[in-house]
Amino acid sequence: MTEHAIVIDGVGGQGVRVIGNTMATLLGAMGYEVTLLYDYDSSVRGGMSEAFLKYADEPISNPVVEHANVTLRLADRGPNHLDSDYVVCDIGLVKPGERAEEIPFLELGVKHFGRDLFGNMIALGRLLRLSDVKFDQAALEAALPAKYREENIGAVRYGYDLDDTQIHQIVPEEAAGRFAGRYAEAVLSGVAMRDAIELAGQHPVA
Amino acid sequence: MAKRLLQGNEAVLLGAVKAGATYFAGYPISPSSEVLMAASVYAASHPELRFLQAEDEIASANAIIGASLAGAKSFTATSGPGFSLMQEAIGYAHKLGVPTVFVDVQRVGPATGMPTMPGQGDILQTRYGSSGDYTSIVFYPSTVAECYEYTIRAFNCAEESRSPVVLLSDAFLGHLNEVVDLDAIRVPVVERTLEPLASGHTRLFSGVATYPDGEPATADADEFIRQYEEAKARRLEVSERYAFHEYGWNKDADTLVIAFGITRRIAQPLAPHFALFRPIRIWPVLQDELREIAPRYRRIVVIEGSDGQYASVVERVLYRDVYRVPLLGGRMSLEAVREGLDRIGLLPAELAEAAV
Repeated sequence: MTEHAIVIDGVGGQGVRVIGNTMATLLGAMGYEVTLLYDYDSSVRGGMSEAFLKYADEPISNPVVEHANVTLRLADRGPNHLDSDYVVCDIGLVKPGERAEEIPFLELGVKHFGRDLFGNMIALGRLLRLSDVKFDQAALEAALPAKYREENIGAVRYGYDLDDTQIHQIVPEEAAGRFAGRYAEAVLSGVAMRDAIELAGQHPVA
Repeated sequence: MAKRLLQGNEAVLLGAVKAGATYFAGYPISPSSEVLMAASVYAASHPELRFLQAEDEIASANAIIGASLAGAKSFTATSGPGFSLMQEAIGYAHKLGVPTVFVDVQRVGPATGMPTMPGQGDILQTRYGSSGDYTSIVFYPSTVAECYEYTIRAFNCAEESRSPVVLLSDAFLGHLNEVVDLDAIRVPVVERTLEPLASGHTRLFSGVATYPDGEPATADADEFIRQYEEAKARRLEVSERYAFHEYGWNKDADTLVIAFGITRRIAQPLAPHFALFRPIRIWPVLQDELREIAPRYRRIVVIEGSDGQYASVVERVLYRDVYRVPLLGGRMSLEAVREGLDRIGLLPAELAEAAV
């Protein structure tokens, strides 16, 4: 197979590393050559945090991704020159002209698994689906940390099994707009980012 | 051991352990801190590796010199600003002939600069950072596997040359994770032969110029030159056995690209259009190899993460001008390489079209 390039675009503290490490470890266990490069600002929280992930059957030379097959966008902080064939992102982060889909990952994490952090694993599952990675349960288990392993596996599976119809049901345009509005309103009123997501998600979108 | 995902900075620690390192001292600084963290974690379960988080880089550098004199293979890891603070100690280690390893994971400087962004601006600092004349030996790998391999070689070279050896890395290489099989990398380890402290007789370890019996030789030029030439000859002779480099890509092209560290990786899409020379041994500069290869090419382009530090070295060695593509401000990307080549009129049409 030719190189497959993925970018995870976020800010410090959002889980870019958790998703990147888990996916890279999983792909490595499946026998792929993998490069995973973190590019981040020196701010611990709130600064730009990018993961460049490539995998292939052959060794990979350039680990820096400038054209991604898929980008997972949890925040819009990535390099300006980065472009992507397809973008999967949280609500309100699609840019004009992109082939993209919006999924309220953190809200789904709260709704289905009790905590927003499982939203990252739902996002990982969707990323694996969009990248057409056919993983087995054992490899996934080995790639995940022991803590919350069952919930994490469930969340990855949930994200992996989402189909387009379900996504449209979860995120009707109007409801997505409401979520984004509540989230923006909370952030502007001084609520921390994570709390704002939970606040916005307290009114299920569908 | 099967293949595993490993970070460049962690590979440095594992290479040091494989080489027989038993002492680490350091002070955390991005983007090298994972070496210190990995050493700390390793030492917690492997008491044969002594670990010290010192109060600063000056103490760290002097601690590894002391540990080496006491018989330990020792090392530290830092980045540009910390490496600057270590320069006085590095000069001391050169004066005494102390085998030890300094790892410098480069970021964008000067000063605090851009702490997590990749740079290659310490090329000249590794050669001329301390005062006086001395002969530096410096290696710069390009992959995670090479971080492991050349850490072992750096330790070996330090033992053979009886001098501090520098292993360069950069923020991208240090933070790069790759699938590696360390068992497939087999480098024989050079054992310590220097007599440690407490061996039964008195020795003097002074930064001052002295005679072999320890008496000051602070006004004896002949003695100074004798000792200097002896140390220089040993280090040059040993470094000849470590003349690692890569020469490849399209050797029939009319332009030679010189790139090293992470820059060589990023420039890979240039392969069909250019020849490549990648120095792994940065110092002493590979002048015999450069002088043999360079005449085959009409043009030479040095792509590096500084404003021409290595390019100036190449010009001095070859007595000819070279083109420069500086990647500054942490912009280590193919796009920046393309822009740089375009500026000097050397961007191949296919690459220009690919960028559109």
